[in-house]
Amino acid sequence: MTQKVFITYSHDDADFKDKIVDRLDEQDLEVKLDERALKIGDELLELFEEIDDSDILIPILSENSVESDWVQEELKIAVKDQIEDRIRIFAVIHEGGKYSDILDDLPTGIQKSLELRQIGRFDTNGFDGAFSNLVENIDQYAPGAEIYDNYLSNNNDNPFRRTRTEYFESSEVIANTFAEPLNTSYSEISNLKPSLIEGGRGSGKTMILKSLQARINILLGGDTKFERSSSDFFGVYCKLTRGSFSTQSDKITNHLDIDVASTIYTDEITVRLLSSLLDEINYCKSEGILDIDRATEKEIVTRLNDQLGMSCSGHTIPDLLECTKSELNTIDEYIQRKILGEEPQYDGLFLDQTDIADLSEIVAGNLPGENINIYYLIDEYEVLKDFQKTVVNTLVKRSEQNMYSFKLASKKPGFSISQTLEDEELEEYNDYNSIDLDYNISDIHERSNFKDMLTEITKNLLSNEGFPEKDVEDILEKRDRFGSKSVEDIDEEIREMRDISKSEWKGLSEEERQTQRDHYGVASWYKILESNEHRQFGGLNDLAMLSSGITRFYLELIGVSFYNAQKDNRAPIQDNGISVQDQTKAAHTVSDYFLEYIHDNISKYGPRIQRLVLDLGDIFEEKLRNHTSEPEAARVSIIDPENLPSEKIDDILDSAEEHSVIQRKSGRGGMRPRSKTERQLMEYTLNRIYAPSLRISPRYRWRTKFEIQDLEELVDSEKRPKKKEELINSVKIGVRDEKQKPMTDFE
Amino acid sequence: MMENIGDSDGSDLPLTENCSLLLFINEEERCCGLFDHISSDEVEESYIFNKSPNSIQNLKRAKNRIGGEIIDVANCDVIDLVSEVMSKVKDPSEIIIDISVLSKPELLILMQALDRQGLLIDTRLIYSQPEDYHSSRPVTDSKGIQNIDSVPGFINSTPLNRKTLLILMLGFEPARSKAIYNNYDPDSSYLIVPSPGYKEGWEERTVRQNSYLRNVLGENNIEHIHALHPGQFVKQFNRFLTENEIKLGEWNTFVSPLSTKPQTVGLYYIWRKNERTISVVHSTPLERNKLFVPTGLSETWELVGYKDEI
Repeated sequence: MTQKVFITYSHDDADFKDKIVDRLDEQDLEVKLDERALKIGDELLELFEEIDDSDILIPILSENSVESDWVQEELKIAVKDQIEDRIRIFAVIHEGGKYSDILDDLPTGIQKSLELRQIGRFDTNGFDGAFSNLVENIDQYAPGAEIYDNYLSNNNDNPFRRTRTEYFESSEVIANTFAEPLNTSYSEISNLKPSLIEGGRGSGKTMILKSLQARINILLGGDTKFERSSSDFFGVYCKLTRGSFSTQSDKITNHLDIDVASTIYTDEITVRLLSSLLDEINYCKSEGILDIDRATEKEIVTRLNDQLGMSCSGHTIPDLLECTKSELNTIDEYIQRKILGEEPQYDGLFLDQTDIADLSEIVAGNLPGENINIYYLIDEYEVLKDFQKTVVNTLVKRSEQNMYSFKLASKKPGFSISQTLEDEELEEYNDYNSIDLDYNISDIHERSNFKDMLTEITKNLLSNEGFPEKDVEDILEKRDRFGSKSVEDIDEEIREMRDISKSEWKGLSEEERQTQRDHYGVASWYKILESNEHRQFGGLNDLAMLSSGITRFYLELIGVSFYNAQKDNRAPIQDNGISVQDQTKAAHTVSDYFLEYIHDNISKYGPRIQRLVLDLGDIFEEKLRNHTSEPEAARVSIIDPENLPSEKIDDILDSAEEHSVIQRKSGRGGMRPRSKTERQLMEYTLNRIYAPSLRISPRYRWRTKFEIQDLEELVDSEKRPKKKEELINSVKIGVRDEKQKPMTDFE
Repeated sequence: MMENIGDSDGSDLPLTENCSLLLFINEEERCCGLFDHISSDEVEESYIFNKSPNSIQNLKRAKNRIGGEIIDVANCDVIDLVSEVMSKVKDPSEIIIDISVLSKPELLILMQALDRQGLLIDTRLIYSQPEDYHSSRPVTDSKGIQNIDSVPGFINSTPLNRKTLLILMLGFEPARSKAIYNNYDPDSSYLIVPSPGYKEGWEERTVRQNSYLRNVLGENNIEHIHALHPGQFVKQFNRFLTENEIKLGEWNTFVSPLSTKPQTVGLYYIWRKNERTISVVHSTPLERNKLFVPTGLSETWELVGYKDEI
């Protein structure tokens, strides 16, 4: 399909515009021009409509155009569109313009967004060179939505399209793809003790829970029926999506006494869990997975009905499910009347935390096998209100030595409430096992485990789709150490950076030179890249690193890489694998996508978190390019954690962590202070998936120290510009003669 | 059916005796759309609910043209607002409500509260369209997501082990629909596009603005349903369920009304018929762009006929 290009320019730059248009006309592009370049007001709105129909916007930036209000307004709009994947912007600098002056005249947000795509440097690269780069960039960056459409769609044969458990179409496909996590003990997760499973978005929490779901767990055990020997637990998967409970809405909890809300929620969660369990049994029965005769079904229904004190007249599970529905209706009716000012009498079941044990025992005792336990596999625990978490915690606390258990999955830091209804603490080790699904990529051992797990998942996915089983290392072409740059070029830059004379360098042993390359080679590589050149990514190691230990990011990276390779009519698995070029393009597409994702998908703080990431990116990029001893320094070390909790920054950091924008690193040996007088730092890392867009190295070797106040001011729109400038200036200072050693956890 | 109220001769909307008129006033011009179509002499009692601190001009117009008690609900949350409204509604023969500037959760909860008291059947809903939303550009709608929440009283009771079905009724705020989609991780999803739209070209505008979801979900998962006609909405929504063999109760179903208020009225009746099989969810934007306020006043409609469709 021919892409539509819309060019905006200042009337004063008409000659330069004509040159660009003449050349674009030779491409497979439909070029439209902003003929009302200098008009403002209502006509601007008409102009927006025209841009709306375009796929690509090329603003010609010059001293003339950036001073116009309309250009800035138009760019603001286009930047937003770019975030929405509706348009792509490829700004070009007028051949007579001065890059830095022009960029300085634009607001920082626009500057950064334009830089996410490479800016066409007609001012320095010469017309022909700059034009080739422009066309290449347009070609290189297919619209994100189009890519996602093609590789996520169920109608294609991209083996990596299922990036969320929900995209797996059947229990069989889930079971065939599942790989046990290697940074934690799967047997610990699957034993009777309750587990609190934490992980970032996309870390595989749902997959773990589903692996314990009865209908899938039997498949993993090689069975097709839940029988005496197949398993000692029956798992029911329950997703606590927002909007699942009457007491969940903010609008309701603001109008209900907390004790009343807790009493009602105990009824609600108990009935919902029971109905989910019955529904799972009913499903397994109807699918022939579970044999339950009529007498047993009647026995279960009668006893549950008695235990709950309900008046269900039927004897089948569907009958009882109808009755539970009417109990939930009673709860909802009560709440509606109560919050709208009436004084209704609550006519609920008044269950307590021990009832779930009795109910579970009735069911478990009637399932095939001995000593069967019921596992409630609770997903998205983090969406619960604090008082609801307290109720669930109580159920977890009481599950010890009963015939049921809870496996709770939550995004980080979801387990912030440890209280129970009796003001006891839910205690790790005593009451539950704590499972962290995020792999710490900085740790060699964990990185290796992560790669092993990805290798297995890749193999399973390929096998599912009928592709020949291949080792992922054979599919992903590895990049050369410094991409297209020679070691000589890198050495030259290291010498410059480290202020080492030629003769001094010659005097170094090869081992010493190698050490210099290990420490400063990557920073030098970034420094000598051309302005329109990307640092290359290629190979499992790179993709695992960019994934930051989160499976979904890996799947998106390899999925888009596969898409890029396949787009050229190649069969990447059967042929020569996926090239470094395709992987590099994918790294940037996925990175852009997730950076842009932050803005509108994180509740409350999305825009501020995105701005913080962009600002930190700017600071780290500055350090990467200018600091002579600690260039790869994208670790955010908070030197005064005693100032937390901070009203302004606490929730923002938690929210960023919940969505895996940042990852908290704690308790690592390498982080401990060297002496008792040194303070313990608190450390976060930016998710490495953003590194390509931010043009920083995903290797985070050194720390950059921040005070809480620095971060507070960065998220404050008024204080931000000054603070950012101050922080950028502070990281420019290199300590040339200080031979500091980097952290040692990278090769 | 949906009827354009007609000319502004002050008697276009015949009222019964002992009727109550509920007006909701903010700074939007369309909240005054009804004034030219009724004769204040015919209104037994009227209540003017002030929803905004910036509505002085419109409040004056309401007071002068219609009269009645002014009740300040500018700082009320949705529950307080509906409580306040219900405390005023006694036992009228007929209730006329101008829903033009009610939020969708307010509209749904109010309809439910009236329904519980058996008053919805005697309620007439009036809706005025804005001339435009000031700018046709998505950048000017809203920014970020404050939160995603269920509408109180609209919760399903489906077992939690069922797969998630998300139905998004699309509007001009793609960020909100995308955020709901990404936060719900549905197993299956459908998009409802208001069609025909309020105005020529608005249908395409909705599709274009929600291009991400359209691309990810594909054309097969898009349904076009009337924007302004609650009765048609109910019919077409049911047909869509039948044609796609969707049984709402077999899924953990969530519907998000981000589209028009007449469609939201239709959704209420869908919910009512399928009680406790649908959860209604909505997302609140972090910030509404000042440029994206509904501007001007277009036509004023009485939403009629949909009760017969149930």
